[in-house]
Amino acid sequence: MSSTLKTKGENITNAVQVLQETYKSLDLLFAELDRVGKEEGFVSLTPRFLRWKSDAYPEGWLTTNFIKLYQKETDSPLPQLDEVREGTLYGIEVELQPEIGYPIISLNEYSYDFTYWNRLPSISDHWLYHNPFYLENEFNINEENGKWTSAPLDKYKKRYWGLLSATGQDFPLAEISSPEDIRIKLFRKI
Amino acid sequence: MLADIHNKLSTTGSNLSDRLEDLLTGNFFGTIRYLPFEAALGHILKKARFEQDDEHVQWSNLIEKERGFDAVFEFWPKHHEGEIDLRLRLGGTFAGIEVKYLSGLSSEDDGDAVDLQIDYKESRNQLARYARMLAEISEGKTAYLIFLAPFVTMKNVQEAIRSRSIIEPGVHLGFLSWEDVLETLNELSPGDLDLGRKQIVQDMQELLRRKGFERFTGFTQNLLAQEVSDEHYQFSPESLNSTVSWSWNTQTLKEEEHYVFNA
Repeated sequence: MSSTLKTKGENITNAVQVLQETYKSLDLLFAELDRVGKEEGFVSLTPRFLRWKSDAYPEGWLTTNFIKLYQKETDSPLPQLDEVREGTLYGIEVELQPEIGYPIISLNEYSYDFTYWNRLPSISDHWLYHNPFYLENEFNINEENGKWTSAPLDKYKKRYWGLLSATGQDFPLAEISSPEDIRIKLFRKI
Repeated sequence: MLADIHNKLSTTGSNLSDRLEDLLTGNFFGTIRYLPFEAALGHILKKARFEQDDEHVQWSNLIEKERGFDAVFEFWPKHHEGEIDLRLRLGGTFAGIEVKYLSGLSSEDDGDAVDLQIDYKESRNQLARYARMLAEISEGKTAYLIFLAPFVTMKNVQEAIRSRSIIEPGVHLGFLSWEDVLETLNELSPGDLDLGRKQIVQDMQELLRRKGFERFTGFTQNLLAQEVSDEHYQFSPESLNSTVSWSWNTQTLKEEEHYVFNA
């Protein structure tokens, strides 16, 4: 293989091709999440997935983490922002490059003091929903058998839009392979 | 073919996403009209979703009455409110179909889905205008307006338009996704069709698959099995020939010595 790379770089082309095909599948997955979510009584909070992207860091050239946000349709709207509901916020997060193991899809739940909310999250607000399971200097994070709990340190509560606590559960991404999997393994787990 | 006949494919290269929409409209509806209404298009149109159940019942009744090749297809009919992509005459009832394919082809550098927002607004305006057009030509009779788009666009327009009274009363607004269209084509029983018609259905399925309207069915085995090693591209300055030296040409600039335009 190394001789191939030295001559043609075939490995790189393969890697990019695998990623592009993966992105296409993820695009279908995200549309299906919205569709099945709607059938199961959830509303999608943003049309697109949330993500971190940066030209300044090579790690930020490639998107490896994607978050879609949902709420229960039956929860009542906030007085100050009627697109958001006074109730749990659900995040479905795809991580293609976890620290350990292989691609995962996580079901996250975030509870908020919604008085801090004054606008809808935008695509680049990804960090608000990703950092709770990632930044140990801003959150108390615990993980056991793929189940996560997190709460912001008091001084960071405002920065994270009144986040009180978050939980998350990981599943292998490759095991999600149909609309029925999405229904049963994700939305019906809520 | 239809898009070409109706002069929708300008060669100037402008407005690519509109042209792709017209091409898809022409290719899909221009082909499906070669099949008896009840064999294909009827099944598809019945999948449209309406806000009210009774609207759906009336729509289904209208569709079920239609047989053979009686439906009249008017592609991009001219009207002062604008050209809807397709206007169908089913008996004495008009049904307009507005088609969307790609929304926003720009690079979205700011990342905040501005394109999508604009597209929803534009779609809302279009739907309001076409509803006025349908109400006008229907002269008081019930008419239908169907918004056909990729699922995500359809859903967002549907949510954006809900509870806003911009659609003429008497015009029922239905929503249909391209993914549902493909799924309905896949559910048609080929046994009911002769060879030529089977080929028409297969071509339409192939076209919609190619346009990316399949629903999620997992990550393909090919993708999961493709081997990639951790070997990567390395740029190593040590490997550069160390004898190469950079040459920075210098030029002494003299004060007062500059270009003078001397007419």
